[in-house]
Amino acid sequence: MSTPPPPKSRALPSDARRVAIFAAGYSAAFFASFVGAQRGAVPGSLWAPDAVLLCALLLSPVRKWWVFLLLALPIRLAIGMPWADPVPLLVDSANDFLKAVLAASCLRRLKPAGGWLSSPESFAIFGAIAVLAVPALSAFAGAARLLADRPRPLWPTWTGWFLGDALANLLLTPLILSFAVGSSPLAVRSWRRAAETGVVLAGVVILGTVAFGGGGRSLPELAVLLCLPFPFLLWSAIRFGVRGASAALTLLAAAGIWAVGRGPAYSSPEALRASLFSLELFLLVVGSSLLFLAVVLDQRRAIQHSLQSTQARLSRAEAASMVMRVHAALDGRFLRVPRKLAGLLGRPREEMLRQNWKEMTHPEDREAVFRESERLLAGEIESFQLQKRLLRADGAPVWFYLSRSVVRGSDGPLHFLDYLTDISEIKRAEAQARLRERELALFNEHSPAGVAVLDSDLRFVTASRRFRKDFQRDDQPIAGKHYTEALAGFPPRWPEALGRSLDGASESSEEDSFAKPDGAIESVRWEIVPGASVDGRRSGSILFAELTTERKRGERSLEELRSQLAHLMRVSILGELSGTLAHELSQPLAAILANAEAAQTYITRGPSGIQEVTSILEDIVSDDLRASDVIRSLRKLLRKGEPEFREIDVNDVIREALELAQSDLITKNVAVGLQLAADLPRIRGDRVQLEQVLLNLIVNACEAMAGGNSTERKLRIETHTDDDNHVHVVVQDTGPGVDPEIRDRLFEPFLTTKAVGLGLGLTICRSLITAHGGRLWHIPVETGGAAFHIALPRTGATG
Amino acid sequence: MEPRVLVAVVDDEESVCRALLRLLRATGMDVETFSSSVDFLESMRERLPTRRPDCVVLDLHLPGLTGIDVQRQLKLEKIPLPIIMITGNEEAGVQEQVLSEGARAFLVKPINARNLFDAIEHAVRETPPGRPAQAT
Repeated sequence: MSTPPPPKSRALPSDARRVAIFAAGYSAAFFASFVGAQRGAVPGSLWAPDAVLLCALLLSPVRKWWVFLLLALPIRLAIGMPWADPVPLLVDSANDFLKAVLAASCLRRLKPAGGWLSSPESFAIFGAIAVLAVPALSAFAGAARLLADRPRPLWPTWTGWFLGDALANLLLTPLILSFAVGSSPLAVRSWRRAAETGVVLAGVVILGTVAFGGGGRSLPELAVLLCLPFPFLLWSAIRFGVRGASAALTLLAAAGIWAVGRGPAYSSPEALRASLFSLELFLLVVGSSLLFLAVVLDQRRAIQHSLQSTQARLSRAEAASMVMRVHAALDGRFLRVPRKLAGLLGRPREEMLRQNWKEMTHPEDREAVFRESERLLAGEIESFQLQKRLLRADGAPVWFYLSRSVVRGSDGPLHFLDYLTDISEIKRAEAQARLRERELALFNEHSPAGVAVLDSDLRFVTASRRFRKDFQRDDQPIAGKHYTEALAGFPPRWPEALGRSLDGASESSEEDSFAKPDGAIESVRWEIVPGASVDGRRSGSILFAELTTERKRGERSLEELRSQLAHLMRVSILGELSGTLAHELSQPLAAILANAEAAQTYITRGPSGIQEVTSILEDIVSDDLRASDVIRSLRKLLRKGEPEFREIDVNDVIREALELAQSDLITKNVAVGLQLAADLPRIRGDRVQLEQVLLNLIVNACEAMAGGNSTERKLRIETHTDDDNHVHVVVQDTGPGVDPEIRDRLFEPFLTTKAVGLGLGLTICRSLITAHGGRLWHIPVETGGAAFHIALPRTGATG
Repeated sequence: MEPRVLVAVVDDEESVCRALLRLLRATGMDVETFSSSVDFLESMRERLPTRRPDCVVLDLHLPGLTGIDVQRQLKLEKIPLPIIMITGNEEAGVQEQVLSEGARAFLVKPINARNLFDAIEHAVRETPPGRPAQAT
């Protein structure tokens, strides 16, 4: 059995259309009631126009009522004038309008939320006002007008007037209202229903005509006949609600009045009146009961429909949401299983309905669910929530969030009401997050770097073990502490840099330092970068810091070692040169001695000798100065100490080195060819170290050539500027060249071809040149011999 | 009057040459100085034996041809000239080599005047008889 949909709220017709419909309806109603009454001499049996006017007023705002009242008046005059005098027409019109306005005003004031036909209570109020009270009052005015017209008995007159008005308002008003706010009366939803409507209405009309036609029946006959339309009326009320009942009753009324009027001649007007009275009374009593029934049925239908649509919405919501509702018996059997849950667990729904919760719950989770359910049943708790795993058909666990309560009847708990949410995604994300956290912890613990993460208040979130070891004041947990309280010390630039990093700025320092509480100065290299920014909110700062104190110390001691080694090598070279250096010194000394001894002779020869002595003394001074130069050069090379980097001319350094090696070159019969660039750029370096390198290369060259033919011993020293802003020095000899076997290892330490020496000369030379930012390398000469190349960055050049 | 002794001094060091020239002249010797071994040898070859010096004070460390080279060359060319080798650097084995090859003396700078005079005197005196320089 299909349920009719509830009356849908139809868009009300436009004002003009509404006025036109009213005019037509009012004209028809007035014509039928007034003219029918005039012809049939049964005045006001079903006074329809007032019901039409009441409906128009009820359906319109108060400010538009005048339109309908103003329209009704000419209609009444136009239709009524041929039949009646204008004065009673006007008086009756005023009475009827007043009645409609009074009823409409009262009804509006008390208007219930769902409308007058929505509940028995509101329909009762409607009846009391529109059917009883107002028509009763109006009937007095109407009866007074009739009595003024001609004398007649008061109560029958009042009763006739009252019943005509009351019946119209009882039957017609609900009919019009139900159609006005419901679907169109012409809309056909199904042919079966249309046919049913036709049968019901036809039955009512035919049986009504039969029942009320042909007067003068005996009482038992009448009783049977009056019962005839009753089943159809009930049918209409039950199947079609207020609309159907009011339509059937209206038709019955019309048919009855018509039948009474057309019936066999009544013995007297009183007899006709009595027939009409009984018809009207019958309609009033049966109609009101029937309409009450119809209202109740409509209300039930509406409630049922709203329940169904709520359930449908709930089902749709459940299907769309992650939450699944499950009913389980107290022993754990499934009573209701949503399709979605069955799908998630990969089990047929029917099979699940035969199974038990416990079988499907992960063994580790059973205990908790059981314990809480016991408390729930014992009434200790209202509901409980927990996370549990259900097992899929293939045994794989699926995580759910369970919220369980119990549904109780009068005899105690009926069943469990469970809401399940699939949280496997969340669980996966949680597991992933835990993994990341663990990885981060491992990274923190084992990273050799000093890293710390600070929040937006510059409190530590985490810090690597290295960082804590290097910077933390104590060994307490560092998380949550402000950096100023947690650290044993930090560079003075940190507070500002950390503050700026919260605004997104990065800062770093390759070389910085800070004092520890014990006064020790630590060197540190650091970088501060802004933390991650999510949804416009910055998480804080990230701090990378590394103590470089030890490394710096190492570098310094390495530098010292290099310097000491370089000094040792200088001493060593000078040792190798000692023979020739002695020669270099002995020359001026020899000259001085010879001159002095000659002078002793000349001085005894009087004035002639004095002149010679003068020139001798000049020579002595000059030779002495020369000896001093040699000693100064030696002292310079033997000096120990920190290298001094200054701007120097490489050509000068070469000349000085050659001066020192002069005697050696002469002794070994080595010819020197100098090709020094005139406009050589200056370089930045330590004069002594560079002279040492050149001296070393010169001495090596001389030694290499010593074994060969003395006429071919040539040392070439050349300087020029490279394209890439380097000053280039070449020291080339005509010796046998470097043995190809050791060429690749030439600069390695302890490699020597000499009978004496450590084999550190070239190693140290290269380290000294590297310390100058330059390069030292060897290239064999095709015509024989070796060439050592030095490239040094010119002043102002990079690299 | 005993003929004056002519001494040649060969040293690339100009100041040493000049100083020795003064010293030897002060004691009444004639002195010729050469700053290059090649010039010295050339001069010896060009001269008649009678015009050659009585002895030569020869520096061991000469650029180009060294003192030893000059000594060997003189021997090779049979130019008999007493040689007093002087050096600023006392190298092991050199003295023995020089003396074994016929040099009369080996003196290390700075040279004491007495030693030099003795060496010259000794060298001149030991010059074989018949030597023109001494005959005249």
